[in-house]
Amino acid sequence: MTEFALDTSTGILIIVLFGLFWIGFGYWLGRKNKSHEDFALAGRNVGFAFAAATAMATWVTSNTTLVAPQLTFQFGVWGMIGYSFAALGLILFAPMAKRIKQLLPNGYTSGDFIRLRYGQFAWVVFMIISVVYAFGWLISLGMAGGILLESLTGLDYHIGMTTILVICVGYTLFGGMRAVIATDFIQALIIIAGVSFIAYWLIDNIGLSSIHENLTAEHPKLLDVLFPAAVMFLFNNIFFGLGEIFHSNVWWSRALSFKKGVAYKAYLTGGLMWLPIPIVTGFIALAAPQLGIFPPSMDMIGPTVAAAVLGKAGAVIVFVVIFSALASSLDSLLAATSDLVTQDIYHKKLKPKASDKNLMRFNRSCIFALGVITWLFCLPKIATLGALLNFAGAFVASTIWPILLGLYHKKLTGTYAAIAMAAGTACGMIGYFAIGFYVAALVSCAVSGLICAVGIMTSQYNFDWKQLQEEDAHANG
Amino acid sequence: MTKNKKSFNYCYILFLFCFIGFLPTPTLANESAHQLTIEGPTSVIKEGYFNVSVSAKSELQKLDKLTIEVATDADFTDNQKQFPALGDFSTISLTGFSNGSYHLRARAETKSGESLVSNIIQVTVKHYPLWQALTLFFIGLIVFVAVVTTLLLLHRKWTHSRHHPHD
Repeated sequence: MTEFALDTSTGILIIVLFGLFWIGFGYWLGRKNKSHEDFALAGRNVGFAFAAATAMATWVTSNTTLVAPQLTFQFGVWGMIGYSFAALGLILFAPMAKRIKQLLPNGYTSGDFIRLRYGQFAWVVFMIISVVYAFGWLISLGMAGGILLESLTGLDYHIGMTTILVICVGYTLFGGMRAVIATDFIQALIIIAGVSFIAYWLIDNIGLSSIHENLTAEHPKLLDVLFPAAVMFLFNNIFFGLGEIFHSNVWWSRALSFKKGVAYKAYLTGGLMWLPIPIVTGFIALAAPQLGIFPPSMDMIGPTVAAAVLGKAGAVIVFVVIFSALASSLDSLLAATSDLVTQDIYHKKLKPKASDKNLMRFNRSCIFALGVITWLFCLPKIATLGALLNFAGAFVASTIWPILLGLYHKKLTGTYAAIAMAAGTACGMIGYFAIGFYVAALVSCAVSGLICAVGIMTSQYNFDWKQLQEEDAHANG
Repeated sequence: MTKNKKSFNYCYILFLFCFIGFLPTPTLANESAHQLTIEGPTSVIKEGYFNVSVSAKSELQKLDKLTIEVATDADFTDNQKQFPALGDFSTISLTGFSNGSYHLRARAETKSGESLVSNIIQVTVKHYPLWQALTLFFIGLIVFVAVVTTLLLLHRKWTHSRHHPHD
């Protein structure tokens, strides 16, 4: 019977030390925050190195460290190759980030843009999609923390899940975006070094040929390039990634917090740095059958295999790498979602005259509340990480066309944009339940694209880009 | 004729008693033989992966060396494979199955070394037809090319208009 790589007390000790370090670091960084703009957008002064690192580290998340191996275990080689195509999200967002910075030099959120460009109706649909997605991702990250500890130490899922939430909420609460970006930088270095080390060790100790022989004999479907469900999954994953990045305030708030001229290069570099990581983490899962590792849940496969190959010291490295990956995404999402709620709902709708101090206080309360709600949703382990994330795919992929056309094309109206997002999401969910999670985003994006195309072809409308900046000037005036 | 009729009735009643008397016996025998119960998917699997879970008859019984045996025949002689469980977990994720019908059973040992075997379940794997997968693949490809082309063309147009505002 396979034993756990670390004993429970070692796991708890690492997590306590790690947690104290991050929270202390967040507190130290937070002392420099003087205004709400400092807290939410790090003073709009983030340079290239930090910008590229935060883009890459935020995108290395439970998706990459736990779901990429899970999908490789399920879909074979297509699982890891298909997953690496999610880098296209960051790469294609690079030109859009440049455009965003030009259109909204003083903007705060993606919701801001949708409201000004498309009006109330589209804004409401967009906010529903954003909130569902943010919670889907937050829950998956919280769950991933629990799964990580459970697979490496056998510790109860609820303890791991609670711990990672407490740590991330803690340092985001103290440090805001400045802490998020600074910790992301360190976490990116840990992730790159750790993943490279694990890949080298795995190939050196097990060998590619023996893994290939075992899969050919015992699990031939995992090497089949015409594996039907995997073929369906490929483009679905690309659209899911595009939808996540194009719409989410995590990426918009970064684009807005970077120095002028940095966003394009930072997203491009971040995407290229990210590209090989799912191949490495996914490859780990292909070694599982040969090692005789068959976990209770598919999403436990990555850390379990890595720890089995690397032994106790290796398990500590795996633990630190995955914990860094989870934390770098969880903090970003907490910060970006609370910005969205603070700026788009509290400031714009409820208290337009709120002072800077009030906004900061509300933003902090929001981070705390998001942490508590996520914790409550994480308590029952409702689905595997892959299934949970891909459910959100039906929502986010519907925003790809409205965001893209909204940024560059004058003709798409708010009504068509709202219908495209709503109908795309509905059809994506039908695909999710009728066929499987691997078609939800594809269906959603295709339907939304068709509606946008009809909207542009029949439109007589010409949006005036100055409306975005006039609002900006008004807000600052 | 009357004697024949009586004899028929006697046989009929005897048969009924035998039926009632023996009916529960195989069930009881079956239960006592299987200290373990294995449960798996009941519907046809279309992706080649699934989970099975094993439970002991007595909830207090700690299982050791839990292994799932898979074969293409009910006697477990054809293409037999074994998959060990991780740690103390009693659920196992299995993957990479091609089209076909598979028989599964669980084996484990108690702390005292007693060997236990479970009931046998059957799992059918039938992947989606390739034409269906390739249709979705090409729809995806067309939509993706449309997204990338639109983005690059619009961005290029915008960059051009910034540098040549009077064009």
